[in-house]
Amino acid sequence: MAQVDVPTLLSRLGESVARNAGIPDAEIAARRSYTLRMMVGIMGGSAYARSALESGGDYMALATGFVKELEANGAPRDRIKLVQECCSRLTAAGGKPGLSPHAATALLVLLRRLNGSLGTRAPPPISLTKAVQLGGLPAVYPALPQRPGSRQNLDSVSRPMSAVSYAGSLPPGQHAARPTSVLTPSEQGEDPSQLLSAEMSRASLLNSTTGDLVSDFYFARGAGAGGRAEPATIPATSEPSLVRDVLYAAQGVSGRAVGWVEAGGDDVGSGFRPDQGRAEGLGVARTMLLERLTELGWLFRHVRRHVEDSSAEEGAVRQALGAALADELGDFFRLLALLEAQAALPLPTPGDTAAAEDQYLTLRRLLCWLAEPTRRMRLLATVADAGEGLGGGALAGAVYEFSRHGDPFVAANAAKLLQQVCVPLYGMIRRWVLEGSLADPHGEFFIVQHAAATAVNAALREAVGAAGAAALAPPMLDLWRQSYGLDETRLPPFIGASLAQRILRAGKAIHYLKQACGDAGWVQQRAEECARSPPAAAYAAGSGELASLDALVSEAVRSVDARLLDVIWRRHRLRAHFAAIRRFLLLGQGDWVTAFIDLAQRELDKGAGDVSEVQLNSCLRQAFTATNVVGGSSGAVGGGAGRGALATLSGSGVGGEEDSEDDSGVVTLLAEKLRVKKERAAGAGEVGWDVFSLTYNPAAGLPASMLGAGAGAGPQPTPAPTSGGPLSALFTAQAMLSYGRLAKLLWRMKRSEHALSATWGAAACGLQRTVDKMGRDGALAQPVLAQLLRLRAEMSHFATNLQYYIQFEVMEACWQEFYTRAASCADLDSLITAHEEHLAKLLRKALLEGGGGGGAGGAGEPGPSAAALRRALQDALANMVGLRAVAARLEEAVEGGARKLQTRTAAARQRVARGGWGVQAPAAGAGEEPVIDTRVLRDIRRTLSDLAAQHQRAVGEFTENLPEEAQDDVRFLLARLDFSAKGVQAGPAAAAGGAGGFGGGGPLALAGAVRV
Amino acid sequence: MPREIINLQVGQCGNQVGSEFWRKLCQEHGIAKDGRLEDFATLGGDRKDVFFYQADDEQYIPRAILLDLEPRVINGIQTSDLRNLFNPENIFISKEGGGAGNNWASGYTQGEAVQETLLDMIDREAEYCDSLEGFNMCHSIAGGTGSGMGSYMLELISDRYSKKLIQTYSVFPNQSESSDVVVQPYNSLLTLKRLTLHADAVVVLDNTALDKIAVERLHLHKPDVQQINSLIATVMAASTTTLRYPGYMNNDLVGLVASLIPTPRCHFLMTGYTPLTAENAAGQVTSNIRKTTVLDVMRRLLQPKNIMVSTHTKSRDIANAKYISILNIIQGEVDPSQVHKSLQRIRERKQANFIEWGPASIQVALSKKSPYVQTAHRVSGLMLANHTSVRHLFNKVLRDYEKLMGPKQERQAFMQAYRDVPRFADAAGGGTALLEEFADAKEVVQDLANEYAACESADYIQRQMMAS
Repeated sequence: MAQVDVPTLLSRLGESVARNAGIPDAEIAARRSYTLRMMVGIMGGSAYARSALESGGDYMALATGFVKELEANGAPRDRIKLVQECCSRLTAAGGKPGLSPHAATALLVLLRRLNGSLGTRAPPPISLTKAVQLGGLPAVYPALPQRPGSRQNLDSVSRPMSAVSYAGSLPPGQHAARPTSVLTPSEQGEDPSQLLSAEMSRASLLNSTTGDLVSDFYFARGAGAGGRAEPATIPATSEPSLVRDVLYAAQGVSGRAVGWVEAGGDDVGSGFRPDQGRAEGLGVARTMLLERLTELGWLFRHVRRHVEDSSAEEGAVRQALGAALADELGDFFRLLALLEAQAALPLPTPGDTAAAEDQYLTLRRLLCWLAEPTRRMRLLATVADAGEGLGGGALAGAVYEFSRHGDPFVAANAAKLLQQVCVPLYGMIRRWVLEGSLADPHGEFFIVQHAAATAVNAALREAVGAAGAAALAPPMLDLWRQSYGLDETRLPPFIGASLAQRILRAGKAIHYLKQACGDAGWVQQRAEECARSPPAAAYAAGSGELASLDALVSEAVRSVDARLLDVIWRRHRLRAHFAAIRRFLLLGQGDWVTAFIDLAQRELDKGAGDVSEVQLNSCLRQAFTATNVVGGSSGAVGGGAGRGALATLSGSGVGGEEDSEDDSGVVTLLAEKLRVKKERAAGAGEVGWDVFSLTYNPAAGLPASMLGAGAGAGPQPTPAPTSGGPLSALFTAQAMLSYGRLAKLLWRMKRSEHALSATWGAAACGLQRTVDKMGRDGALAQPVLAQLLRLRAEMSHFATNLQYYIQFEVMEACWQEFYTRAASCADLDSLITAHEEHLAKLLRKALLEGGGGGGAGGAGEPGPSAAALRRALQDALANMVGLRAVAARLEEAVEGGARKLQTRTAAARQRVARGGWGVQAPAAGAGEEPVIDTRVLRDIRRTLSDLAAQHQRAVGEFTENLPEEAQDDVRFLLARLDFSAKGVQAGPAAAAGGAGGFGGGGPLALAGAVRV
Repeated sequence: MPREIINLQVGQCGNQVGSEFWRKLCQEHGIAKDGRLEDFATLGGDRKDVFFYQADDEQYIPRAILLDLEPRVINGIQTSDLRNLFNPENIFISKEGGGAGNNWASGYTQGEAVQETLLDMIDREAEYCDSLEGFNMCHSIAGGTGSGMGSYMLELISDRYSKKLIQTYSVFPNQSESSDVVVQPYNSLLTLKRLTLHADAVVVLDNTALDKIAVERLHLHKPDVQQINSLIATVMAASTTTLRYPGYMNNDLVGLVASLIPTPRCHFLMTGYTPLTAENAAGQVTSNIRKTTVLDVMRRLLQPKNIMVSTHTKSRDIANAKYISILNIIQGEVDPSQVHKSLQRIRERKQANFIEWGPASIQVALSKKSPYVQTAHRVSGLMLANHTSVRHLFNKVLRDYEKLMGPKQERQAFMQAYRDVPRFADAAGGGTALLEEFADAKEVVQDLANEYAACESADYIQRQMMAS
């Protein structure tokens, strides 16, 4: 149905009627406003109200009811027919658009009320007015004497009409029989203007459209309206006047007896007070009554001010609250219009039983009628006050507080408000979770871009603007953690922490996909899909329902999370990265480590200053090649899969690959990300081993587009910060540092193991054979060799068990646990948490917890026992390396001896050949020197004893400090170190005593030192 | 930079066992019988180049040297399905082709005679290696070629490659049934001397125990050589898994062996394997074990009935026997946390009796399983143990030797064959050198047995100190 602009229509109708009546144009213009205001007043002001009467059904019912009423009153048949016809014209018929249901209803109400008031109570003498009000006129009516001042009269009487239309106040008793407020009371009884208008009405009624018909009625009222003449005869303290004043006050307007008293703005001191001058003789009771009634006015003004304050410059949420309040005020106006209409009813005279039943208004009745609106207005005012100065989520939160009020009235009304207030908020949430866009011009959203990210972006924009392209290396940014965050102060309390987190995550994940994972295509596609067919929950959430918001967010976050994890696990091969870290960074692939140590040993033995990082990296690659980790002769093995994986890694894959447990092809490719890094030498005397460290950069070799540098990604390069690749959220600098500390420990253990292994190889294979060959001459070295090997066995026992512990109890167990947990992680946040906890656990169990250790400069002061533990461990491992040097010295001594023996034997043989004695008699006093220098041997034995003692001390300290770490885990280690349960080095006793420690290694060492 | 290992197989037994070993290795690495990689073998993660190298045509060739003095076994290999696997240059068969006639001396001298050829082969193989770690030799100690020529090889290699590790898989003869070779004790004793002095690690494979295991554990009525050899090959393959499927630890032979052998002389290792399977006549794999867990496997490995060395002695001595070291190599799907529990259990129940003079514990190496070989069991385990009870085996050899030779070398039964060998029929005529050799060997072996016996006492080290 086409909407009809009711005010225009009405004004036009009024105009035409007035013109028909021959009223001069100038006066028409003057009256039009009165006409309109009257009409609007009767229609309850709702023509302007936003929440208009929606259904068009009930004016038909009204029409029918009206007709029936007419019949009941015994109205003439043709008149009824006329009315019926008019009614039918109200509706759309035959393609002709009718009035809007709203206007139609209003008109009908008007018609009916006018008719009804006349029909039921019209005093018999005033027939003409009655006839006018009936909408029909007697065919023949007495000619009325024309009075000269009719024009003026018309003006003068019409003046109070304007007031009437507002307040409908009529002094009681003056014209008790006056049918309606519309018609001005006239002393003459038969007002010529009324006759005129009645004539006009009749004429137009007979040949006019519905609009005309209606306008006639209005005119009938409006004709009287025009001027404002205070009927001085009505005392300001009379009941109707006071009622009118109260109704005025309710709209924030001062009346006759009650006026607005300003006291410091719109404050508590202000209010509507009885005017001292005019309200004489009001009486205490009525004054109090008035005070109670005019509270509404104060409240109204209060609320209105809030509405006016929420202009467009304010935040969207505040605007929404303003609109909601304005709606409420609209309803309030409607109510007031009704009350005004009722106020126009005269007070019944004593004995007038019919009138006594009527809806006339007194102050007490008003008290009753206005009680509910006052409560409501009070609530609105309180809500508005509570939101004073707040914005965004906090404002919504303030409203929300009321919706949880114990009073169901407050709760229900506040909930209604809340819904409207939340609309913009939910809109923001929706755009954020579906498209990842942060549309928040007023800074109200509880999701904010972090300052760091903002700064980086600004810098980028600047750089792009200045240099044209991102030639400058964009600053690094932890895209996941540092871009967006929650602003707790803006978070409305009805959005719980978990929901807020999910909301944050959804948008963050979208951004992450776009900027770090190079998955902008999917984001775009999804946003389009959502725009085309938004999730069902989006509609509901649009109307501000919390439950549906939850559903919407859950739905959105689920899909984004799933996608993000899919991208990370499948396309970016997170598992392979983990495998690579385990195999290479954490030295899981032993053959490669061995090969690398073999290759790099010489370089690492150099002083810290001379070690070449390039050389070591080349050793690293060589070791990879040698152990078929990369390339090599068995390239056919993993090559195919590897190449495919490479394509995937470079981001061109579609993510359809299987996520195999340990795709060796991919893992080998990831080995390329491993680099040797030389740490800054901390002090003099350090060798390459001390400054050596391995690094693993998951983002190395990724294409630039993947790193978030948007340059070249499209025709319009959008500046984006370097993100460090899609896995940067997991492999943060902190995480890599933790891995680095672990790697350092493992590397140290590996080095010790390697040294012990080499010692055995030299001693058991090489030395033993040489010694055997030397026969009697070699026997001298035999005990030294045995001592060496025993110490080696002790050390090896410790080293091996420590390694077993780290490997099986710590690494394997933690990784297993982590894999299981990671597989069940449904979103990146929980995955990150799992990973971080995993790392913390690894460090703790690997006895690296307590900060500071490993030279990594960790935070926190290590506890005394933890520090002692670490020191003991380092000592123990260093001793093992020291043993290798001792073995080398022994080797040298024995081999020197062997050479000497050889020359001696050769010399003896020569002597024999010459015919002399093979064995010469020893020169007097000298005795033949043993081939192996005993001094050297003694020295070696002493060193060995020292080493043994040191080792024991270190192990003792280590075991002593272990239990204080208060972990169940280390029991395993202790149990293994003392497997045969012989009480060997079982804690402090052994360490302190030292005598029984290490299966007699101690006493043996001491004895050895004494003996040789 | 793999730590390569060259495999020598000497004599009839050595070659039979060796070819079984290679067959197994090929299976586990997905290498076809002709050395080509199977199509399915794409998983990687294994190290083939410890035991293989690639020829020009990408074919995998075992780092193996096959030696024998009679052509029968090697010819058999060369006509079998493995004929294209081995490098023909690495096969040596004596030109005489007469074998060693179960005569240690004959085998030794024949080996000595072709020293240049042997060294050529070994050197060439060694040159193929980037960093040769050591040698692996399979042989039997009772026959002629495996013992005699094997002994010579040990001496040769330990001299030539003095810094390289030498490990042997030595098959000890079945003592429970009367052997057709009466001179077994002589051969064994002489070989044992070389094993003691020139080898760094000897994995003792006792045919007596193997037979028993086959009968009792596998319920084979009359186990044939093939089946026994398959058992040995299983042990050999299992003991090298950590080298072939690298993990964090135990990736090189030295590291593996070093942890087992704290003192150089005591380097005779016993093995146990569970669950054992055997192929019956119908080609079905049989086993009497249905369920395997880590604890189960580790517990079983400590049971004497699963150990492939028989003890030949009284139970009192067995009770005194102690473990010097244990390494369990566990293969399959293992939850690492179970290892700890199992060790705890074993420790609580004192199921393993360790030496008292040094730190010792059960070491566990977890190893991957070959992805190409389907096994009925989820977990399998190999135990390498240095156990003092191995001395009873030496004592048995010594006893048997004395039965032939007499306590003071007065009996000298069946000595003629040894005297006939020119090298030992020295100028002195009476075979003094030969007798000296025997006496020396007896002393070495006796010392070895004593050393092991000393290990059982708590004051081993003190005693050792006194001795020196």
